[in-house]
Amino acid sequence: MSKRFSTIETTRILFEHPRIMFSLIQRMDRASERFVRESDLTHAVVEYTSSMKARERARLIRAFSSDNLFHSTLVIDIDNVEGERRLVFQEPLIGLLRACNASLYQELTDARLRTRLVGLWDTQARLMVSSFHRADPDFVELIDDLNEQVSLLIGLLRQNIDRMQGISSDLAGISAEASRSPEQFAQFRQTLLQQIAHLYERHLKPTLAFLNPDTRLEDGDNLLATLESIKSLLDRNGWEAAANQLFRATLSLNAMHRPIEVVAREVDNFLRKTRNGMLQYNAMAHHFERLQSLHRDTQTQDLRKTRLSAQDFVQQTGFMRGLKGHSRPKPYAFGESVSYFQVLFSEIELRLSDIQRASKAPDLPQLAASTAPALTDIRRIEKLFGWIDTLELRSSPDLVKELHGRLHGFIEGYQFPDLLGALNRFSNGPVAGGRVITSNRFRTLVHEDGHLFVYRRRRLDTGQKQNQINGAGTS
Amino acid sequence: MSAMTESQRSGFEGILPKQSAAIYRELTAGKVILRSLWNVHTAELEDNPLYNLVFNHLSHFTELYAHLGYELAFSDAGGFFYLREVLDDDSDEHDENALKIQVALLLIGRYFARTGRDLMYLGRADAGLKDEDLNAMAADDEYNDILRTARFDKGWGEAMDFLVRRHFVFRSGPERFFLSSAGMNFLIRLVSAFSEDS
Repeated sequence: MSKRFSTIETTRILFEHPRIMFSLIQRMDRASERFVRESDLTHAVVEYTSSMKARERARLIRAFSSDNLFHSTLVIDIDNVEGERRLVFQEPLIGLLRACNASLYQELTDARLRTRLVGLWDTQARLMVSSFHRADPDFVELIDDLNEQVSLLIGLLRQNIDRMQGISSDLAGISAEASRSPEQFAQFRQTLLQQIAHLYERHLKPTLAFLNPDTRLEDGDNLLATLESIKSLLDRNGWEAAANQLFRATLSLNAMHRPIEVVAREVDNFLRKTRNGMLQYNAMAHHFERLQSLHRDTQTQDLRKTRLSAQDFVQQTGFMRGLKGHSRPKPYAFGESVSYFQVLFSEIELRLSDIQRASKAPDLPQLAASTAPALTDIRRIEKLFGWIDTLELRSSPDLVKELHGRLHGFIEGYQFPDLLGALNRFSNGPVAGGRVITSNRFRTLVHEDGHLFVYRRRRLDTGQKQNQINGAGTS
Repeated sequence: MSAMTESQRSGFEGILPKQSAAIYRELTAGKVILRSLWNVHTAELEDNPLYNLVFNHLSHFTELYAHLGYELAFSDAGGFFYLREVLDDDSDEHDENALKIQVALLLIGRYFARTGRDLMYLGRADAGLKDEDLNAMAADDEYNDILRTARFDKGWGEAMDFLVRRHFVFRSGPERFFLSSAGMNFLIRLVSAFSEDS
């Protein structure tokens, strides 16, 4: 019947329009459910696509249809309950979407952490009675399971630390109103304290306690002690590689203690603030967010965008707009290095060889614009090419300038258009022992009469370079 | 002291060429001329004679720099002068200096506020930023990346040098800094812009 998209194509579309899924996950989290109602999905898609062109709209509606999602296995189950259809999405997909949007992380609660710990205890108990034999499938599966549990735990904690580090904007959000109006401050402070205390008590403290190696639990060892005992169990039975891996995991869990402590300290600082301090705090958080959004623009696919764009940001406050830049004097580059002298001497040598055969230098006929131009031009260019073909050139980052320097004031009747002809010769025909590379950088050349010529920089690579270096080494 | 006549206020009289040249050098290097400067030897803030000279002969200097193609700008609240290039508005290039200053100062202000201190302490010689603050800021990857995208490729060292050179920050010790009135002026503006904007 209707057209379906492949799994990869559907996933692509899902991530091209992530806002749809973001809103659905938010709704799911708010209701603490593990499924999405089909009606919610349809509603979200219709709303999202309302301003789109008909074709694009049809494409999205098709991609997000339950039928397509199910057949592309992104939805693993469709449940019919009381007349409404509930879609259960693949957990990895939801996890990936959460990773794309920090606000979708689920806060780590005490209960969630304990579940993980109990899982580890179970593994520990099973390891105690295990065979530790490579050929025992039970044992191999157990090790796999252990690794998965540990990496899941680290991933979970890391996500939450990332989330917690964004706490300043959370705090700013909670207190924005209160800091602006002094009348409401006292009254608001009460609710503020409650909210922050909740954050601190329910999320920060349990995580800290969970990671603390000195915590004592009623029904078993704490996390690090559990991991430590599993590690020594593996060690004793000759599974060093697995034990080492577990040890490294313990190290990274230990390191997570610090960033959480930093966050806890910040919350503490925040609670002690006066109204003015809170205003400052919020103002800084607000403007920093502006900066962050500008910074995010540099993280897009566009490779050319690596710098902040000044205009919008600067204009908003207008502070120091148009401040004069510090103009540095351009140094006239005299060098002391070996390569500087090599370049200098090779240039002098080349110029000398030019002068030695100065008698053979062509005398180009005057350019006459109107009278028999074609014939004169051909004769000119032939003479010029005759000279250029015998020119000895060295590797140069800027062939145009180099060539101009060699011709200007040396060849009688040399004009700018001749340079163009000479360059054409190099660009189209072979150069003796070298090649010309045209870059996308533009340079300018100023003529005495005030004319300015803009050209693309051309680089000349010759094989001579190698010889020169070798020669310098032996002399 | 007798009051200055109009010609003294707007002409070249009463201004030593040496002092005027000193002002010119400061301004054209993109520095701000502050009301008071930090004296590293006595470790205290001193009045800046150049500021007073510009202030007393304001119309003269305004005219002088207008003839040179600049606009002499004055910040009343911050107590400083600076030179603005009169260019067409849509060139992104010349606001790069303003961007660098704003970004570096904002990051400092944000860091300071997050540590729970009042921003006022940033502008006091006996408080300000200490070496542990600088280390903490340098350890933050996000700050470093933002600095890099604002053309501070070498990180905080370069950013602080930039601010010091342009008189937005004073160096009060080997690893100690505090904000000048110009630097503080920016943070105060950010706070008041935020509190009005609601």
